[in-house]
Amino acid sequence: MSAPTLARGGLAPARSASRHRTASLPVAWQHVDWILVSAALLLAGLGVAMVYSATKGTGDAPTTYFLQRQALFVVVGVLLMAGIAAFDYRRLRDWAIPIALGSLFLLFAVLTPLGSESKGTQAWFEFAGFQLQPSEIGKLVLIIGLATFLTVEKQEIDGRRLALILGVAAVPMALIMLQPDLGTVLVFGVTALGVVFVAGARPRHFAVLLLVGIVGTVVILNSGVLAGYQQDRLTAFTNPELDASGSGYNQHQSTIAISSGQLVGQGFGKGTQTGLDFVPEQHTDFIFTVVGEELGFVGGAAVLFLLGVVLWRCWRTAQLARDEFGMLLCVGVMVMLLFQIFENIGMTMGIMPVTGIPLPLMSYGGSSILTAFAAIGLVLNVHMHRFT
Amino acid sequence: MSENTGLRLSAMAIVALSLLGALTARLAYLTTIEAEASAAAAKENRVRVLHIQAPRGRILDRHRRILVDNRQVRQVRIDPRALDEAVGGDEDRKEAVYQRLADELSRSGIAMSEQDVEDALAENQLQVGPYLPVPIADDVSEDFEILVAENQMDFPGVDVQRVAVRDYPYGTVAAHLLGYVGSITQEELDSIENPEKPYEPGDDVGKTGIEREYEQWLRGTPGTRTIEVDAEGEVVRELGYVAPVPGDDIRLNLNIQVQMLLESRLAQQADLNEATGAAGMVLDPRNGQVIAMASYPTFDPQAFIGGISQRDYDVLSNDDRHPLNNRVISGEYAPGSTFKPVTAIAGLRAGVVHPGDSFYDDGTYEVAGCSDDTCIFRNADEVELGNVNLERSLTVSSDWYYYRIGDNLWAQKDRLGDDYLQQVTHEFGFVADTGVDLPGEHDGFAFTPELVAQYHEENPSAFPYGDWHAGNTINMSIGQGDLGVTPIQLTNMYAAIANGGTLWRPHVAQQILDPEPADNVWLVDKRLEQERIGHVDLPPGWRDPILRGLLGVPQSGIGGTAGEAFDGFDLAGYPIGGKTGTAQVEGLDNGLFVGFGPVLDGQRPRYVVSAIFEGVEQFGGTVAAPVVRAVFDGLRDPALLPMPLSAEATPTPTPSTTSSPGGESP
Repeated sequence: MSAPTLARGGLAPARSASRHRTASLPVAWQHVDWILVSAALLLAGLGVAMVYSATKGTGDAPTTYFLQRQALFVVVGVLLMAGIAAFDYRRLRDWAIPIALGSLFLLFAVLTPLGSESKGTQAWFEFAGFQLQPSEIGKLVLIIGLATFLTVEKQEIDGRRLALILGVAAVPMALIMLQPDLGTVLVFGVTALGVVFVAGARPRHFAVLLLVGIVGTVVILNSGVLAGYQQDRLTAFTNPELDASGSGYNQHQSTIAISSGQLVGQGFGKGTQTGLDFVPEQHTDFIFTVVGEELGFVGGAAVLFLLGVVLWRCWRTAQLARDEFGMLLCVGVMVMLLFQIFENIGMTMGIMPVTGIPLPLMSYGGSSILTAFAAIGLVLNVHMHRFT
Repeated sequence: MSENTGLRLSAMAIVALSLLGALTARLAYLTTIEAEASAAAAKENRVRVLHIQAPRGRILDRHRRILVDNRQVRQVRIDPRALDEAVGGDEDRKEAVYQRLADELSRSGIAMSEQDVEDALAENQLQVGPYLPVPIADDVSEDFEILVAENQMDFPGVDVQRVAVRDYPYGTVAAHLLGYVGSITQEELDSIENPEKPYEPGDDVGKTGIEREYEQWLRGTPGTRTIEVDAEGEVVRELGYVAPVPGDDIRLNLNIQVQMLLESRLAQQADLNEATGAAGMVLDPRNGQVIAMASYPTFDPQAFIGGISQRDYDVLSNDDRHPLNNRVISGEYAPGSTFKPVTAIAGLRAGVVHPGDSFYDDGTYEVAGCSDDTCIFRNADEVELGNVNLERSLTVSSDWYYYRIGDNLWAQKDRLGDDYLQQVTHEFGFVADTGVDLPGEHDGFAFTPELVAQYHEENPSAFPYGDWHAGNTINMSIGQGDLGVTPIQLTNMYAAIANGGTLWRPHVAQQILDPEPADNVWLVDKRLEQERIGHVDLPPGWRDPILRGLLGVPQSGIGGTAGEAFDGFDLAGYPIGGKTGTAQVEGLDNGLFVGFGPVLDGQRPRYVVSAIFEGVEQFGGTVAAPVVRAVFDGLRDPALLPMPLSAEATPTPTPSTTSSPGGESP
């Protein structure tokens, strides 16, 4: 496994430069994946600019409130990423159980009056003007937990073991369903499926799981756990124009906005759909709409390319990982990011339902930004420790 | 690691590439093939239709003096959505803005606390809806306007806009009759049909009085400016413009000078006698034109400008004396002795009394064949009035004479029917609205044996007795008991007596004037035309003695009940007929007087003047007649009338350029 790594090393001039500069650092720091870091930073920087464009408002005195906060989130996120990359990821295996229990406790506590509600979902702790969303942290904990439990013993993943592992994973999902936040539950489910698949689940078992996931989603949709408008939002994407002023409104306006960006967009800060507030939640879930309208196909494709690079580096690190635990961590991060990217961007372009899943690294919001950087920190960690 | 991990990782890569490929393909499709249609849709989103408020028509008096005008005020408004966006939904920062606004307003002379600003925002938002800036305070200074404009960072979402509001040059004068305007409510938006002059949330609409009755004419036709805006909301170009058309002016029959005189004397007398309320009106008996109409206590229509606060409205509407009610058309009073001419006509027509019949009024009337206490009816203070005939019975206001008529009408019910008096009452226009061009008119009531039985059956607790006795008819014959009339009905009844029997529909407005081209008179509304609503047959043999009797009422020399009030009035040169009335209501009296004149040979009287006081301790001759006399003084000699503010209205109002955004809400 080391041969391809060396061969690829030459492709990253930044890394070879760093090798000279960081000669005195611990060995691990000489193997930082600068491509991944650069792509993540570019995306986050573009995200900050887009959040500003979406929230500056109209008039002579632009609002910088969201700009400042998002920039702060990114700075803290980068520090968090560095911090998570700093220790050896293998020690996470020893901490997996306390981390999982702590995370479950937070998910439980947020349902009590300690948590606060917004738009019908009780998902946040609120303090000092900031909100913490435990289900975001929970995504990473799920990945760490699955990677740990799937690699406890070197043995085949038979039906019993699979059922046990997924049974444990179902606990946080059930808690999040009580908030209720179907979007995040789907992220959990898809991430778990992806990790289990790569870990070597039998095709027969995997097919059953896929079926269970689909049936489960349909049952939840029809069970009344979700408020009527949440259901409408989820199903309206099949024909947004039919209900352009109701549930399909966001998506319809978002599609128009992206489409009217044409090749190079209307220019930064000049999108009329976003500037005139036709797209709700444009700085959070619909941030890609701003990219599309103001930077056009070129800007949108560049974002997709950079996201592709991030995914590629996750995938590549999974390939290079020194052990199966590291590989599954990277696979988990990759699947989580891939699903969120596809669901979020697909939603803004009218090919996926509206579920309220943020675009990693770009959507406005502290919990989402920190989670994305932490996840990338994990992958960097695995990459850095691939030889040691 | 299982041996096929590499394979599975490859499968993952394929899935990831496919999904990213799908997104890229969708993006390419949207930005190329779909682009044109979307560009059109996006452009449609950039089009704004701004509604330009048209000035509302003015209200003029009969001599074209302006009673209600428009003026521009500087209004402070908060756009809640802009504020929200500016502070990022942070409640503390919002409160800081409210606090700053309250401080600066207070410094500029409009005392408001932070809580007042929040209250005004919450209350007025209900009226203007979620998409428009919400008015917070009116009439701010120019300095304040500059302050807000120059310190937009401190006042996000706050602006000062010049808006046209109603102006009342005569203050509270004729407030009930003119009415007031207010922001249109959701119910009104749903119910008012006027496709030519569409309404939007935040528009003014007439709520009461003439403002409401002639809303369709007074309201101007809004103009529109269709513009395209860029991402900043800045205007890129104008796509269309339709100029607003000012509303039509309404010219009333009202004479503001007579109105001022009537109101001031009515209020003066009401205060002096601690009346709970009063009403008065001046009517032209020849055609039904309303020359003056006053209700006491009154209110200040100025308070409704820019939306009255809920607190102020509650004070007005919870006041026991009901200052918002126009008592002339909605107050229902026992008419007392002013009702006697109706009883006289009923008695004459039924044949139970003849004009020449004379009786000795010893102050106590006993119902025939009945001697217990309930069968004895007394004159007020049991005064003995001696020989009375029809003429004399009105001059000295003998109850005895009318008790006798009532007793006989009831005694002969088999021949006449048991509601003979009530039927004549109806004939004089009572128990039905007069159709005056004002909203909120009441019908009044006159119970009959049949109605009383029915009410008792339907609601025994409110109507404990279902039987009708001789006493009920006898009481009604002097205008007491089961009888309620509105001042406008009573005034109109005297108009019919004065003009020979015709009931005209009272009308307040006379013309609709298109303000441009000036003086183009429109006579298109039915309510403006003279209209006969009834006729009472008054043969000279009956009317002459009644007239003579009424003409004696103001004469002190022959014992007229209003003699004192008309002391010194030149009754020979300007003969006035009238009738006093005093009705006992729950321990206190209602004092009434209705007069008409001048009663000259070969001329029909020109004025009927009425005054009614509720909750006083004096007779109508003492409390109400002096007010009527003062009005006649002014009618006879215009030099005695209060001076008006201006001679005549200017023909063209200044067009307003105020606009409000709206139209195509997303």
